[in-house]
Amino acid sequence: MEDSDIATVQQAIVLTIRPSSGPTFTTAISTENTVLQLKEKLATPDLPASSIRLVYSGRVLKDEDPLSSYSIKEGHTIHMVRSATNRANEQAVQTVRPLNNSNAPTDGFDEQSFMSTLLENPAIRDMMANPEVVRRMMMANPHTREVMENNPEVAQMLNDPSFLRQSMDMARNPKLMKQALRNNDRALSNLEMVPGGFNHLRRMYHSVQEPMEASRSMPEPSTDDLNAQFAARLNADTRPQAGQLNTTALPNPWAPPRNQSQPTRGSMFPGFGMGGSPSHGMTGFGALSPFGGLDSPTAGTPGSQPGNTGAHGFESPFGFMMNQRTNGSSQNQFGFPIFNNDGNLSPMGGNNPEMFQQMLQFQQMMRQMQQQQSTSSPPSYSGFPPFGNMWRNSNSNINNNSNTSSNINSTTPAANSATSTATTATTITPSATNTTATTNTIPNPSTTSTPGSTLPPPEERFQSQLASLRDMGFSDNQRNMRALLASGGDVNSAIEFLLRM
Amino acid sequence: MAKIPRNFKLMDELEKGEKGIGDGTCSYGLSDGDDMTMSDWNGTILGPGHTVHENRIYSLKLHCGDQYPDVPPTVSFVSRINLPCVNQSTGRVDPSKLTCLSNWRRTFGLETILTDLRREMASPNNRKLPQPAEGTTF
Repeated sequence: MEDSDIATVQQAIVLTIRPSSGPTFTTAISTENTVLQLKEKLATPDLPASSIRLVYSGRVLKDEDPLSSYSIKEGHTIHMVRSATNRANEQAVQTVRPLNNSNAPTDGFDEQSFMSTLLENPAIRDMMANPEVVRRMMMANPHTREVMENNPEVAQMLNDPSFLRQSMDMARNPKLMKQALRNNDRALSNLEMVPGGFNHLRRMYHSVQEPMEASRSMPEPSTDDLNAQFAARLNADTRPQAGQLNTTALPNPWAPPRNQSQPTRGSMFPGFGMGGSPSHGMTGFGALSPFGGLDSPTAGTPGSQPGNTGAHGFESPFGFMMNQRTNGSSQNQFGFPIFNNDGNLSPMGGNNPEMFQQMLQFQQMMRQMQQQQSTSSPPSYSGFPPFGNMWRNSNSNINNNSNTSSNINSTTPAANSATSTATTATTITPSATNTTATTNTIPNPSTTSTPGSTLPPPEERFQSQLASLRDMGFSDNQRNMRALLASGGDVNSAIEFLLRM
Repeated sequence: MAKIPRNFKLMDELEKGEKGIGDGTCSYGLSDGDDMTMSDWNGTILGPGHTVHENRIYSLKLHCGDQYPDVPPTVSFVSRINLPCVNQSTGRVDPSKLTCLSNWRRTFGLETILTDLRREMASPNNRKLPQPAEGTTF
């Protein structure tokens, strides 16, 4: 008896326990004890003995074996590992989620995967976790509210937070969603089997589902007006003639959207004999940018007859002015008729007060320029010496007289081609939407570029010119840049432009 | 440098295995403590975290022949595992598909093999491989 006691005491050894995480520690135990007893000794409240696994010398220790059977000796190390079974469920959930997400697109549930990624967003999740918010969102839709008022049971359902949470969970998990849809289908087919079940289903559909689905769709029906708006957004200017082969090129939907804010654009330019053509691409002033027209692929088409350009669209004041001049109409009237006629302004201004203001500013600037230049320059280009320069430069007829550009004045086709060359040479293409209500009526060209243009940004292209301007004492870089863009990189005319500004 | 004879090396490794020197994710020891030739060894690999192997313990058998450590030991899994380098019917590790076995050196030990296998489990190609149920054996 005593002997065996001594034996047990002698068999007690100190083992080093090495958990998979955390520091190692030692424990003393008799080798007569079973592995299970050791585990119970090591167990902590958050790590019960049942989920401990012990590894020694390349073997997983079995609960029922005594420690002596593994010939564990003093000072040896036993690895303690948390059992996988304990965390298996948790882990399974964790691994299933990302798998679902990655599977979703291949299943063709693009919308669902989008939904689930959206719902995975923590902010959205937080929002959706609050049933009150969800309820309010649903109530915000008049159609849904109507359905709820007509069907108290539906209202009750939608007011039930647990139902809302469940449906949110469902929307988040595509697998669950599919499962639910499948269950739904099965339930429906079961219901159909019941006598009278089909009628009931029909009633359900009409009273609940149809209005619910209607609440998701657009309330307005399709109208010609809406269609025209969409067409304009896609740059589809022309409508194919019915009964004729449509040979015109399809519009480029990626081209910068032209300004479509003038529903009565034709009537705004009564003096030019093009009021009657609603399909041409004239979009006002390219959001009031004097360069706007350079953006357009049709403006200033080389060789196009001035009389026909109406159909191509006078999208810029340039194209405009050129035609005005060559048409022989009102040479001395520098500006646009629209500016001199307040009544004509209203359709535009009414739509967009900001635009109206910009127009006024533009007009003011033009008047100012006209006054400054009126003494020595031909009327059509007097307001725009820098532009004149631009044309001249691109025509490679560089002369230092910035106020006249005789070759342009002489022939319109030449000027037209010059315009198009200028377009490619300078790529000054302020997009209509970038125009802001600054005091400068010329929109900031630094935000602009031709789509698909491979030219480096203007800052790079005009680096040397910018530097020389800075050396000359023009310290405002933004203004310098604007001037350079307007002059097409010519320092001399940029200086003139700057002095005039 | 003098060659370390087989038994000295294995004694050294046995002590390391019993004392648990190393990163603690692999463990190994003689399968029969009375085996004076020290030929047959057990090994365990604790599955690397953030993989399908997480919290799994894989048991292996390693056999060190007479030529060890000049010749690498033969390694086979006892626990079922789906890895490219493991023969799926016998559980044997294909020496040509495991870097440390194909480029074996004298300085390598049993621990080298186990850690290399563990790294193999955690490799991007293998970490998500579907695995047989835990507890099944070859």
